[in-house]
Amino acid sequence: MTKLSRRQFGMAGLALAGASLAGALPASAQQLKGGRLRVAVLSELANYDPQQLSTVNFHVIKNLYDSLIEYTPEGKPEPSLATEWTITPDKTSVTLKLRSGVTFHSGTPFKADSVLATLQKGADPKRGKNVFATMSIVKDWSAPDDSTVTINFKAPVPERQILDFLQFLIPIDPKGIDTVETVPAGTGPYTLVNRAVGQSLTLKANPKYWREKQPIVQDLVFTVFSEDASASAALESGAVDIVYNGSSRSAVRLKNAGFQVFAGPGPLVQVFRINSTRGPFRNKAFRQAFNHLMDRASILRVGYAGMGKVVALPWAPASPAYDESYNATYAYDLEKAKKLIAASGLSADELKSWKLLVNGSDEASVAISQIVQGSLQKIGIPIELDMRQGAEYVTALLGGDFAATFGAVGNVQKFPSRVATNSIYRTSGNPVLKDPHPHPDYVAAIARVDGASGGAAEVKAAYDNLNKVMVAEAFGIPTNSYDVGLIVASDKIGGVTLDIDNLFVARTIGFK
Amino acid sequence: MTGYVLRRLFQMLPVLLIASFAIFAMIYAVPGGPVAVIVGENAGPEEIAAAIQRYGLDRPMVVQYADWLGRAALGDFGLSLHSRQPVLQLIGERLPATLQLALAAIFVALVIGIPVAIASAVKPNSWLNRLLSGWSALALGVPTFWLGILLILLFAVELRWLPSASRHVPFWESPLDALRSLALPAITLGTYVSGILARFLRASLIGEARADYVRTARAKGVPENRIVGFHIMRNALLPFVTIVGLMMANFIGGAVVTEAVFTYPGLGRLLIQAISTRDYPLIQGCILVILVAYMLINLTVDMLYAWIDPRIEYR
Amino acid sequence: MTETLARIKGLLRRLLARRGAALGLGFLTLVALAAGFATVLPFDPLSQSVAASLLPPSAENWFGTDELGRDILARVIYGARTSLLTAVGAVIIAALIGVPIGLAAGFYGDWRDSLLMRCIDVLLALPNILFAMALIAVLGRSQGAALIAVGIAGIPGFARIARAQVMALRQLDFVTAVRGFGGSPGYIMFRTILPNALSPLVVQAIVLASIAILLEAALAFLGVGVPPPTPSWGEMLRTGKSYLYEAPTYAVLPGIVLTLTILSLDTIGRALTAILDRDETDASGETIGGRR
Repeated sequence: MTKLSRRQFGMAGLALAGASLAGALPASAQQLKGGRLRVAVLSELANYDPQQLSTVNFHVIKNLYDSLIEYTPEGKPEPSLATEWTITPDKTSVTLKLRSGVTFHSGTPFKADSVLATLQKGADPKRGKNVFATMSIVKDWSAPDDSTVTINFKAPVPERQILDFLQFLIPIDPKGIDTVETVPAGTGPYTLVNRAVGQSLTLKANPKYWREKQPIVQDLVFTVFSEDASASAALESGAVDIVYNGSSRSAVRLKNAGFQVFAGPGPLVQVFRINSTRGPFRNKAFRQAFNHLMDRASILRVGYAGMGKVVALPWAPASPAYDESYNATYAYDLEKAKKLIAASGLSADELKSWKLLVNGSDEASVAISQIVQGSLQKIGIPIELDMRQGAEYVTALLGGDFAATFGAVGNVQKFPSRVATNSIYRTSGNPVLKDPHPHPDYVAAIARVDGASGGAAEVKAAYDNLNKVMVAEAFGIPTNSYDVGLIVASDKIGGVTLDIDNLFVARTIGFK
Repeated sequence: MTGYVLRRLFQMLPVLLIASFAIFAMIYAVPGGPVAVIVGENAGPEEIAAAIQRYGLDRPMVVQYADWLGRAALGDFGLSLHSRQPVLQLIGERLPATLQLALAAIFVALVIGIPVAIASAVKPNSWLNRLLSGWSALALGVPTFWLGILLILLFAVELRWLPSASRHVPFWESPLDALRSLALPAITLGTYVSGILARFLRASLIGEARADYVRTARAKGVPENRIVGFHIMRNALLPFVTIVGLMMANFIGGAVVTEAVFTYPGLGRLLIQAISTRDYPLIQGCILVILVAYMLINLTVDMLYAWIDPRIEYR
Repeated sequence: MTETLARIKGLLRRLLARRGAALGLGFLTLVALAAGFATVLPFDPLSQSVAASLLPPSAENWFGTDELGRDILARVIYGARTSLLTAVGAVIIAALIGVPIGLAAGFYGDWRDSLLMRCIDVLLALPNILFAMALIAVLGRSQGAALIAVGIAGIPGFARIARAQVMALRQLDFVTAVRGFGGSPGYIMFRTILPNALSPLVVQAIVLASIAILLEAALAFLGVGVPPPTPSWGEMLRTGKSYLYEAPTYAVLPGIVLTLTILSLDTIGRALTAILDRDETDASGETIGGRR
């Protein structure tokens, strides 16, 4: 059962449907045939460094590298390069047993030294990239022997957060660690053959791969498409077998045309980010009005073809902090918004004295920003859109140089405090809100979640408190969850594995 | 002749030097830098600082320029900030695609443009002429991106004969695949150029037809076909070569819109991508290659001129 | 003044006598009227209705609706304002800068000519569209930026034609005569030569207007034109292209209006050239001066 029939495939149940797939995978994998798998992707990868975990790299990382541990789509930890992990009762240390008989693509045997080198790189602010922030909980590490690594933490860390950390760590070949941006240095199921920047990436099966009978297909070719419509046309014409990370809109259309659609358990949440240190947004009542100003149903429909869920909090339905009741309480309601705006005491000129920054390169952002602009127009607040493309937009985002903008956040299905890895939700060094954090209640609420290592009631209370503070402070107004890393495949394809972060995993895929 | 060519080549140097500095200065005037895209939107301040230092972006602009110039003079155009691949390699991958599209488009334009021009020049007041001059108006008036959309709608969405997105397939590797992915962009671009060529060739054909030597030939009883095909054509070809050359030069970087419609991997789109990610070395490299190509093609056109018309002499 | 008016009337009559030009003029007038009176017409280009998005053409929405349920015809009408504003603005900018450059280069003809024309050549060497994109990157996306970028791209055309006219006219009797009376270079260039070089410049203005509309649409198509929600034909084609499957008419109908506008301008431009050419061949050298 690797394919969902079209009838079973209800949109609302996407995430759950994905979860029920995984258990049945190995049985069917044996009937699949190998060959040449052609995948259309919509982004050019940045480089081969697995510590640069950005969406553009999602299609390559799990094919060139392996993590220390993996999660099932339900979030259950599974061994990968680490076969065992033991967390001390005081939760300040974890000890790993490493898999034996594994080699890197270069032929170097996988041993403790590579994990140490990887930790070293992650802890270096110059080289650590996305891993660097996660290393802040780590005190030190050591390797008693070649197949054992112990990592010590600065303070007790909730178990789920330790597991997230291990899942995030991808061992790199110590010999190739300095050139990892240009030459992949992993243990993964595929090795690099050729890359034509902006056009294609060709990989071939790693003959010495440690997982039995994997990978199934011998040749893996990614073709870079700069347009969603072109990628789906290529799938329809049979020029590719899979489209990875295409738009929800195309996925809906292709599903109706008889293609298989797979959505992973790790969606993103679109958030209307507010810079609460500027202009009218310093006013709390004005910010709270935006909880009711978001026409979430229209946003989900226009931006994401209805695939996803409207949410008022930055959690995917699978998150332990997810709370359905907020969606009704903070529904689209212009009257409530007007009351809050009246309560703010701001003058008409102050109310419209800002621009909505828009990522012009993202079609969905352009559309949903116009919806918000339309809603504001209806209650008499005419504002302008500030459209920026590419680097100019990211620079504004990174420098907090905006009044408000739409930007999706990730890690919303994991341990709730992981939301603080997204810039607008950072508790310290927040590039938008700066230090000292203007919302101490929020910082305290995140700390309370991190510290709640006691009973279920304590944990639940910490989550409820965080949710309450988030809508009250209202510097981030979530609108909807949506799928990233959608896989749309022709009916010949079987064995699709869903990754917890929606990365593309090719090793189990084959032809029926 | 050799001396002339050498002098022309030598004259390119100061232009390139000025252009490269102008580009450098302009890049720095544009808001937004490359670092944000490299580190990603969730990066912390340490990461940003490290990246700025790593890529040498904390140095004064003049120092960066001198550094770049020194290397470029030795043929090293550096690495792309974004993909960490050599700039020359990236350009080298796109240039053949661009040239192939340009040649295919010129071919389409010639196949349409020359007959249209001859037919309308030979019979200037016929219904055929009206129809054909209507063609050049239409070819020039229809925006290339709209024509591209219509072709995609017809051949890719409705009929499903051809792909809506083009890849670069070298012609000598697989002619059929190359034609399939070239057909739509080449027709789109070629149609536009056929309008220019037809108008231009028609004007110079009519001009030549009024010339004395044609009257003489007619008086001598030379067959009309030979007059048009040999005498007039030969002389009208001269300005025509210029136009074809100019078009060719323009396509090296200027076919951006057609490339965007069909997501064709040409040099123009590489440059636009580079601008969008503020990939400084790549922007520099692309613009310089476009300029050099423009100048070299112009030089070639002048050489061809001399070859077609021996009266012209370069010293 | 009345003389100029009479000349324009005469020209217009001769234009209307040509069928193509008459049709073109008619269509342009329609577009201009729609753009001018857009606010009076019962069309709202911004009113959203997401429930009624991407509808095909119907009695209620003649051109259908877009992804936010806005009326596409209303957006085409308001888009005409963007296009015409860009065209007029760009022509003014290009003429105000390009004509003096060309006049000065042609009038002096010495090192000043070489210098000015080399600058113009550099402007010509880089493709228009790339140059405009670079300029918009510096200025930021706005109606003003689009207008300036397109206008600057139009400078070389005006400069070259103005220069060619000066070169042809400066040796003629009436110019040397004015010079003999001690007319300043400025007076000669702008009061003596320019009025006699107007016709080809007017044709150039029409040519540039069509180029400007095309270039603005191309910029919007590439995503750097006038920012939404302001309607623009190029932007509509850009968005429409991603809905080719769901709503094929979305990208087709605005394209027809855009194409017809450009064809109209082109037809008028060519008809004018033909009319003026005939005048030129009819008139002998002496009467050029008399046409002041």
